Amino acid sequence: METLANLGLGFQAALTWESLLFCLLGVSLGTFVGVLPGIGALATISMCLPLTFYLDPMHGMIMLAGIFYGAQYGSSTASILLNLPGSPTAAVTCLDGYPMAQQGRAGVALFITTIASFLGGSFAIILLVGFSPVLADFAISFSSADYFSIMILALCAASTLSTGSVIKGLLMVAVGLLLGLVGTDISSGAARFTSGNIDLSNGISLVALAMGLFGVSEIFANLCRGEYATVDARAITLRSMLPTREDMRRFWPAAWRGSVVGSIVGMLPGTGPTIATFMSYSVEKRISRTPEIFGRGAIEGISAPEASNNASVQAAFIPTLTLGIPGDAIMAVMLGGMLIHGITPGPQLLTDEPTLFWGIVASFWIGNIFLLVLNIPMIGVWVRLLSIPYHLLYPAMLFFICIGVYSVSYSTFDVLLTLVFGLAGLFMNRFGFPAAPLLLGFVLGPLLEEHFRRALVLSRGDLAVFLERPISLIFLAMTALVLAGSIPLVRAATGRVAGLVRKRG
Amino acid sequence: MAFSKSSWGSVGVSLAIATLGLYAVVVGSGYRMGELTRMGPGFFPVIIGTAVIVLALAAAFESRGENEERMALRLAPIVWVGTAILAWLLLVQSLGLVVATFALVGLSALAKPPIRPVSILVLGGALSLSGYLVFIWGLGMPLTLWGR
Repeated sequence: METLANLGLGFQAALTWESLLFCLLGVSLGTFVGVLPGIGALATISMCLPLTFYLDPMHGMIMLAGIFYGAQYGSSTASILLNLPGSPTAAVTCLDGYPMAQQGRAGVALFITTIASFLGGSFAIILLVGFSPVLADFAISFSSADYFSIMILALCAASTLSTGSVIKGLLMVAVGLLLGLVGTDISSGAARFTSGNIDLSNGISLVALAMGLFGVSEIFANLCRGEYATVDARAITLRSMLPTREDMRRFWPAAWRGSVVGSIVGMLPGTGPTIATFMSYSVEKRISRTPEIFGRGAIEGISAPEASNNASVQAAFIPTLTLGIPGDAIMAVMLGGMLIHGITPGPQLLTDEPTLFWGIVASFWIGNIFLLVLNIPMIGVWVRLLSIPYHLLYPAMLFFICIGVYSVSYSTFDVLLTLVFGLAGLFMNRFGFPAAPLLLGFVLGPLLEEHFRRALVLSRGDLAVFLERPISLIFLAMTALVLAGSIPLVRAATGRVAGLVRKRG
Repeated sequence: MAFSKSSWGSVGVSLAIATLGLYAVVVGSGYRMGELTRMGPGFFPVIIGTAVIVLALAAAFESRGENEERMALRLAPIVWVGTAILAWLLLVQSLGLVVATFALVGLSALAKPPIRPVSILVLGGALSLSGYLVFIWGLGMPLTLWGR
């Protein structure tokens, strides 16, 4: 009953004109950048982060979250029509979505992915509503040692459960932690690694780092590739979107399975939507009685990953809001944004700021309904977006990156840093060093150090504290399992799907 | 130890990162270390710096035989986009938003020939206007249109 009352409170906050406006703004912007290949949700969220500083924290978070899940809806469009993923998670959707488009069933594919996204999102929101209070109650007793171990698990899982080299992933986490140390040390007041530069005394700007690594370096990469496909604005009519009865019969079970896989993966610290989509695709292929149709336009092959994708995106808010530990780089930026707003996510958030918490949760549902409308009756508008030429797009993006970074603290030094990180990101990307773990390490770095220090102050310098506390021990054991590669199933599965994606590329 | 020809970049990046770790350890050990009970500001940086060095060397070792196809890097787009950003940040406070934005749009257009003067003018104007409306007029950012 209490949950219902809380939800009521949330809807009251989310149904005000301002909340609705920022929610609509967020999901529209998210769909916009999701549709366009080459602009990611991460770059957009970082670009909009400074804008939200002028808003009420709740409205700011509603908008940023809207961009995140809106982009997941939009990203399937380019995958289906152009075989170009709008975001890394949509790479899996190319596998069966593009063949469907070649068979003249693009409309059906777009319809199915939207419904699957809605289903996955709604499933995870219900989980978020039911599960967050329980987890928060439980987490209230967590000590610094426990938090330290959970963060270690999140960092290790995020860097190892992806597709590339484990060592490079871990290295990037460590580099991120290092960059997070720059600036004034909170417990001693000592300036670290600033070389006397006043611009660095508050640390490296999160917005500059994220925009450099994910915005500028993407532009570099796209221009180096020199090719940027656009689609002729073909009218996708509502009629062409209607699936057959057979399509729907195959859609439902796959979408449910995808929702479950996505919710579980999304909830775990350190595992993001990319793993969720890859896993659910491989689950579908494995349990299918006709695995040979995968890659040739199988309905299951787009339903499950899309449902899983959106479920994991919504479920990722569970650890971020209730523990303050983000699951992936995008959630890390959102966490950074909340911290700048003076909100500290964690178990106290539900009791201290119930309106904020439940308002954001309620807005998810409203946002998902907006997205259903934006993506089915209005799909033609988004498809036409794919005909914007890149020579107009990238200078505009550069402009918004520059002015966005500048607006955080009116510092041209931050804009320079963005360029430096853009170049670094280009080389990292080129040589297989993933940027996402770096960003996660950067955001978690200061928290990790603080909890490490505090745990050892409380234990009087006894390192055994991390093994004596049962919760901490469990998470460290899970970390050891992850590192030992004892989840070869996951790696093998994601590796196989990644291989398929590469082959098609 | 055989280095494949295409692995030099990966190894090079790893070694560059190792140098960064070394820098962190050297500078970090200059801060007060403290002890486990009461850690000084230097403690954590030295641990992390060491981890960076170890992992970077491991990454260099791991990627020595790497033979993956990578996208080709081209100098022109990198130089022009870089110059465009530099021009914006150097000009925006002294000459104002409009000049800086036109410089950004014009220079970055060189990254992707052919040059289209009309779209540069239109885009520069549209971006200056939206920048003015959102950031200066809307958010009260202390920038001027034409410099001071």
